[in-house]
Amino acid sequence: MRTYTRRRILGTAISSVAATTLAAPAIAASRKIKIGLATPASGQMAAFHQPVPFILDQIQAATGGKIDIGGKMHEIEIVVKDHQSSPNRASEVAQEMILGDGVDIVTSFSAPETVNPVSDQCELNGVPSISCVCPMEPWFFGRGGDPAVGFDWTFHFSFTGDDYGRSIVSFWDKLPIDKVAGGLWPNDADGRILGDIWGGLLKESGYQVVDPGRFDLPVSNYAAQIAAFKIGDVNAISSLAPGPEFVLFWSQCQQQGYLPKAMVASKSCEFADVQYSLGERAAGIANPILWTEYHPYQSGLTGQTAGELAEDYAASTGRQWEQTLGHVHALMEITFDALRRAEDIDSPDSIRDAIAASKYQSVAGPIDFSSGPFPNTSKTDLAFVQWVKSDKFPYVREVVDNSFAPSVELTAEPILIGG
Amino acid sequence: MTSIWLNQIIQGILVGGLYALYASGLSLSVGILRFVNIAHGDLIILACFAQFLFVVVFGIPPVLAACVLVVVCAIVAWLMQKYLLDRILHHGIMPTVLVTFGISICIQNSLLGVFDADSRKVPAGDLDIASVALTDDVFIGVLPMLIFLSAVALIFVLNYFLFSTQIGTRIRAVAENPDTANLMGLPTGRLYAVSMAMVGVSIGLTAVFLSIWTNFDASAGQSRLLIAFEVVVLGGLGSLWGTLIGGIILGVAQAVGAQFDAGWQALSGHIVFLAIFLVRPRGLFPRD
Repeated sequence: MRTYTRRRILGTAISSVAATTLAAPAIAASRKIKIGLATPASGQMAAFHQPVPFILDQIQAATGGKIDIGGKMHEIEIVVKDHQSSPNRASEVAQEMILGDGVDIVTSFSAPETVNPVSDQCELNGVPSISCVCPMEPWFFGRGGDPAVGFDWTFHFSFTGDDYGRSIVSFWDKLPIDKVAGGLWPNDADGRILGDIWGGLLKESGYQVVDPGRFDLPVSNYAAQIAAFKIGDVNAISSLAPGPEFVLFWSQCQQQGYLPKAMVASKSCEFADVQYSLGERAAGIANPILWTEYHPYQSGLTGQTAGELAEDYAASTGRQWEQTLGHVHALMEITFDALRRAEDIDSPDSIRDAIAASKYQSVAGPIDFSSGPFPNTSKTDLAFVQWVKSDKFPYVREVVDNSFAPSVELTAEPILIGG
Repeated sequence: MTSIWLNQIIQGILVGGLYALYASGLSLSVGILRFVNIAHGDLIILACFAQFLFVVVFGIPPVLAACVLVVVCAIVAWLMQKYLLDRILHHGIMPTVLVTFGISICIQNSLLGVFDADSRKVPAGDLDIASVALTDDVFIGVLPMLIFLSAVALIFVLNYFLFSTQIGTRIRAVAENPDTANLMGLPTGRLYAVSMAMVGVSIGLTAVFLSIWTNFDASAGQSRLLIAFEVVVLGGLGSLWGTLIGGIILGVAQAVGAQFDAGWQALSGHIVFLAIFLVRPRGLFPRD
């Protein structure tokens, strides 16, 4: 009987690799360029990853897996690694990509918990890196960034937590409600930092704030929070609870005979699947959002407008657009653009300088890392959308406020919860 | 103001029912069989997805689907015990921990592969928002009440089965001392398989309610496992009614703590757990 030992399998693998390498014709003069992409394909943040396979397929189709750098065609490979939504794993996959795969540039997205470790590894190892989607303050200050100095190797385009809070205020100011706001802010990185910033912002803007305190997840019983909102006669609530938590809160609100007039559900109802599961109770829930199908921009890689990108995504996957569709697409655009402009593709410094000098029009809007508000960062639009019933999908998002995305047109009037 | 506190306590008791339901299967396997099942939460989520398939994809009426699910879970648990866990049960505690941990990882990743990362919920019409108003401040949700009553019923049945039937006595004998039970001619393997089928029943019933209670996704199984272990240990190993009481104590402690400050919710549950543990190191109603 033939037994397969580890050595035998490894031996076979190595000899077959050697065979294919030897058989390859010796015309490949230009080096293969490698882009690393650290992504939450599994784990709690997996919803961010949904559009990634579609985006990569599209880019492969548009570029043919090749890139023109200084008149020379290079093969390009995108090394995709799943960090399982775990900070430790994110750090490990960044190391694997840098030290094992020898990537020329590292890209990442999703929340600070996983973007920061990837950026830290790149900074340590002197490898250029671009990231997006996670809010800017935790990315910059959470990594010990000094606004006077910045970082050497890492760049980030996204929104600021401050703008996010202001866009919520701007939406609520439009509604015919009493200025009493409630905070459903959990005891995690986002809840602690953003909850405090927004609480302050709301008070500045003349709102009375009912804040029952930071609570640990998961919670099975929201009766205390609901009682506080009820007694305080809260009209508008901001939530930072994840999807299943928010759905539970929303059901329990109704069990307890209470509903606010306005509900901003961040981190949960940004994703269509959470929204659909609310059924009849979904209309009117709102949140600020990085990217919509109504953004008036075009991809520099595929030529699609934001609307076309969303349509192609729906046609190919049967799903409606998510904000990461636009922003991860833009992440790949800006990466290709920087690589093309690199003077010496074999020098990390040269790639880094090309990123720093970016003045790029992406499907998510202009990206320019010298524009700030902090060094190495570029601020993008933050539109405000509200879920309404539709024929195409159970619910779709309409733009109801554009104070922080002036180039995006309004598509609907804001409504109150319960009509 | 008093009615608000009353409402908190009632909500706490009802949530205690959910905790007890979630922990009942664990109480049976850890408490009676002395078998630590790390995959308990993931098995419940797997069953939630099965219920989702039955109701949403195949369009089976929810109540019928629930009955089918409970039977299927019992059979699957029986098979799992007979063909997998039985091989490792008699080699100490580490192999069972490792194997069930492996099962947990397999379930999570298979679910992710098949169902994507989307969170799902089984629609239940207005059941999950329906409630009865006792006063202006005291509301009893219909779904939480149903869950509580089911937990009591399930624990009653499990308890009757284990302590008042012949097969229950045999199972306890086998769990107590497998070698002697073998000498007495008891079919050890079969008895373990039967008790695992009972764990399957509890998993199925929990999944029926959890799948309409809130959204679940492939990674949701582990999040409430800590509470379940706490409930089992608090109630005392081997006592199923203890598990119910443990669940209620934790639920009420959390609800009352949260009424002082939302930040105290999880903490006050743990504090009460530790306090009781100081006084009664073997839990409230230990049995052996």
